[in-house]
Amino acid sequence: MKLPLVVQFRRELSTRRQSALFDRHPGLIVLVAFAGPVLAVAGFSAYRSMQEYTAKGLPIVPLLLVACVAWIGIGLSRQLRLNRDRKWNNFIRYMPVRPIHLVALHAYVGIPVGIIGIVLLTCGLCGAGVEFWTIRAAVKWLTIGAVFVWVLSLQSFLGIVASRFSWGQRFLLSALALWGILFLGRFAWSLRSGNPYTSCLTDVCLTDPVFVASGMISLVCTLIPQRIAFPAKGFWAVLHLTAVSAILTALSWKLIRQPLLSIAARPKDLFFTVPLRKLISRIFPDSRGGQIAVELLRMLRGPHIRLLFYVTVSVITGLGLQFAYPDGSYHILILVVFAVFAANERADLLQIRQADFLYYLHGVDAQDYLRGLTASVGLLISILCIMQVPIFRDCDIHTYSRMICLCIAIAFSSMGMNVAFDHYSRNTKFFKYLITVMLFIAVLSKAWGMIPLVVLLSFNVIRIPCFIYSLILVILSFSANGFLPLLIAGIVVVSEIARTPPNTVKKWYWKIVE
Amino acid sequence: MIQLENIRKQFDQCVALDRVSLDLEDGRTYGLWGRNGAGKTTLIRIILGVLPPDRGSVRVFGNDPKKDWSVRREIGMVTDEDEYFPEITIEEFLWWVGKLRLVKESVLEEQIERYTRAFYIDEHKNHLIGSLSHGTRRKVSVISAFIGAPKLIVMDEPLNSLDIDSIEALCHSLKKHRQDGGAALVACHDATFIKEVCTDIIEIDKGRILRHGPAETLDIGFSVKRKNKPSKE
Repeated sequence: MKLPLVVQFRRELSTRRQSALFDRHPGLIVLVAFAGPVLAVAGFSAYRSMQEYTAKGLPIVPLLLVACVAWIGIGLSRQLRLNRDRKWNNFIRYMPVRPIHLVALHAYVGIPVGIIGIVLLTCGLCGAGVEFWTIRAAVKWLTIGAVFVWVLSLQSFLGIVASRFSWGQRFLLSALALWGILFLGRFAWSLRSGNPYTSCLTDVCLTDPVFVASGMISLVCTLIPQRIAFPAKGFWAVLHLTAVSAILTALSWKLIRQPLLSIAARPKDLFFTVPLRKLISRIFPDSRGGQIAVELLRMLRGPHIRLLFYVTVSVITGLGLQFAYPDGSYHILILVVFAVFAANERADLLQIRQADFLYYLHGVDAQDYLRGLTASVGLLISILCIMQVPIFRDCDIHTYSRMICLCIAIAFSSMGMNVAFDHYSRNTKFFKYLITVMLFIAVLSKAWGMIPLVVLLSFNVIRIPCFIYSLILVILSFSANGFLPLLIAGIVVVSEIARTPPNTVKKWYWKIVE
Repeated sequence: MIQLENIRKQFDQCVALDRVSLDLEDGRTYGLWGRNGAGKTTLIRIILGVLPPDRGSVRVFGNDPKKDWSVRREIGMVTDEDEYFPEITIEEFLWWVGKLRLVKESVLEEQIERYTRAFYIDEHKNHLIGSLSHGTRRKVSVISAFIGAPKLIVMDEPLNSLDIDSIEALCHSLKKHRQDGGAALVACHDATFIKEVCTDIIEIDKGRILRHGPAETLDIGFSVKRKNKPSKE
C-alpha cells in the first residue's frame, strides 16, 4: 500500500530526527536496542500479573477498561506531541495536503503505541485464561484487530480536536473530569446496596454510558473468559467498534479542515518565594546559587513538570491499590503504565536543553552551570524515585537504603551528565563500565525499578560502548541484588568530581552544548 | 485572484485588522508596506486561510482558502518565522515541497537546479539544512515558494538575512513570475526593494488600509512624512 505523501514525509523526517538524536545522545540507542526484549519482558509481566489477579477472583472488567483508557491516553500524548511540533505544523499549514491524508497522519503517529498496546493486551488476556489459539477464538483476533483501528481513530479524533480548537483541550479535560465524577458518584451509590465492591464496580462499568457508547463494553464482553464469546456476540463487538471508528474518522475528516492552532509554548507562572530565595542565597552565596535557581525554575516551568504529575498520579493510584489489596502487587502495573507516560516525554525534555547556548554567550561559568543542571535534574528525578517510597511501606531498611542510593546515582548520572561521565572516569573505561553495571544491577533487581529504568534510558544516562558487551553485563546483573555496588558507584563518581580541575570541566562540558 | 471584503480580526483587546477590503489581480506584484504590528502578517495569514477572520469574506481563486485545501497548491509561501527541518538536505526539502504540490519529477528536478543556481546555493544542495548559515536557510525558504510555479506567491519579510546577490536574484524571480502572469504579495520594510519589484503598493497601519495604488504614484521611504508617527518620548 502506498502511503500518502505527507505521511511518507513525516516518516522520513522522524527517521532523520531519531538518527540526529542518536548522534547527540548515543545512550538512546540502548532504548531502541532493548525495545524488543523490554516489550517481551513487559508482556510476560502482564501475563503473570493477570494470572495472579484472576487467581484471586478479582474483577477483570474494570481492569480491562482501565487498560483501554490508559492505552488511549498514552497514544494521545503522541498526538499532542505532533500538535506541539512547531516546525512541522508551520510547514504543513501552508502546504496543499488533503484533509483525509492529515487524518491518516494522525493515525500513523499512533501506530507504534497501538502495537505495544495490542501486545500487552493480548498477553494480559492470555494470563487471564482467554484462549486465542482455537478456531473458535478466531473472532477474538478479529476483535483485537478492530480494537487497534478503534484506538487509532479515537486517538486521532481527540488529537485533532485538541489541535484545531482552542477550547478543545479544556473541553476534553472537563468532559473527562465530569465523567470521572459521575462514575465515582454512581459507584458510591451502588455500594449502598451492600454487595461486594468488586461486583458493584463491575456493574457500574458495564452500564456506564460512555463505555457502552464507545464500544468498550462490547469489546470486554467478547474478550473476557467469564463470558463465553459466541461468534455472534464477537461479530457484534467488531461491528460496534467498526461503526464507532467510522464515525470518529468521519468527524476527524470534517474537523481537520479547520485551521491548525498556533500553539505557543507558555512557561508556567512559577516563582520562588522570598524565604526560598533567601535560603538558596544563604546556602550558595556566590553565582552558583543563582545558577541553581535559574535551572530549577527552567525545570519547573518547562515540560519536566509533567513527569512530576505522572509520578503523583501513579503514586496515589498505587497507594490506593496497596491499601485495597495489601498482599497484592498490582500497583506495579500502574507504575509501569505511568513510567511509559514519563518516557513519552523524553523528546521535549532533551530539546529544552538546547537553549543552553545562551549561557555560553553570556559567559556563565561552566562549573556553575553544571552544578545547577545537576542539582535541578537530580532533584527532579530524586523526587520521582522518593515519591515511590510510600508504596513500598513494608520494605526493610536495606531496600530503603538501596532506593536512596539509586536516587543519588540517578541524580549524578542524569541528562547531560554522560559527557561528565566520560570525563570523570578519566577515560578509564573500567570505571565507566563499573558504574554502568552497578546502575543496571540496581535498576533491574526489583520490579519497582521500572520507572527509574525507563527514565534512565530515556534520559540517555549511560553511554554504552558496545551493544553485545552491555547485553552480557545486563544478563549478569540479573543475578545480582543489593545496594552496595551502587554505593561504590556513587562514591567513585563523587570522588572523581572532586578531583577534577575547573578548566577540564569547562573544556568537556561545553561539548554538550555544541 | 484575491478578494477580501470587510475583513476584521481582533486578538483579545487588540484590533489587528479592521474593515479591510482588497481586490488583487493576476500579473501584478503587490507590496505590503507598514510599521511593525500594523497587521501585515495577520492579513497574509487570513489570505492563506490559516487564520480565520472574525468578520468578512476571503476569496482566493474564487474559493474560500480555509475550506478548500487545493487552493494552496497554487500558492507559494515564505513566512517570517525561521522554522526549518535541519535534518534533511536542501534538495530533499525542495523535492518534498514539489511533490506535495504535485509537480512532475522532471519539472521538479529542473526547477530545483535552476533556483538553487540562481540563489547561489547549488553547491550546498546536498548539505543538511541544519549545517547551513542563517542566510542560506532563508534562501531555501525563498526558493521553496517558487517551486511548482504557483500562480500566487506570498512573502512575509523575504529579505531577512539575504545577501545583496540573493536580493537581486529574488527581484529577477519575482519579475519573471509576473511576466508569466502570476501574482505576488510581498510584505517588506525595504522601500527600495518594493519600488524595484512591485507594481502596486498597499500601505497598512493599525489594521486599516491607508493607501493603495500603483507604485509609481505612491511615495514610501524615509523622506515621506507619515501620519501617526510614534512620539520619541
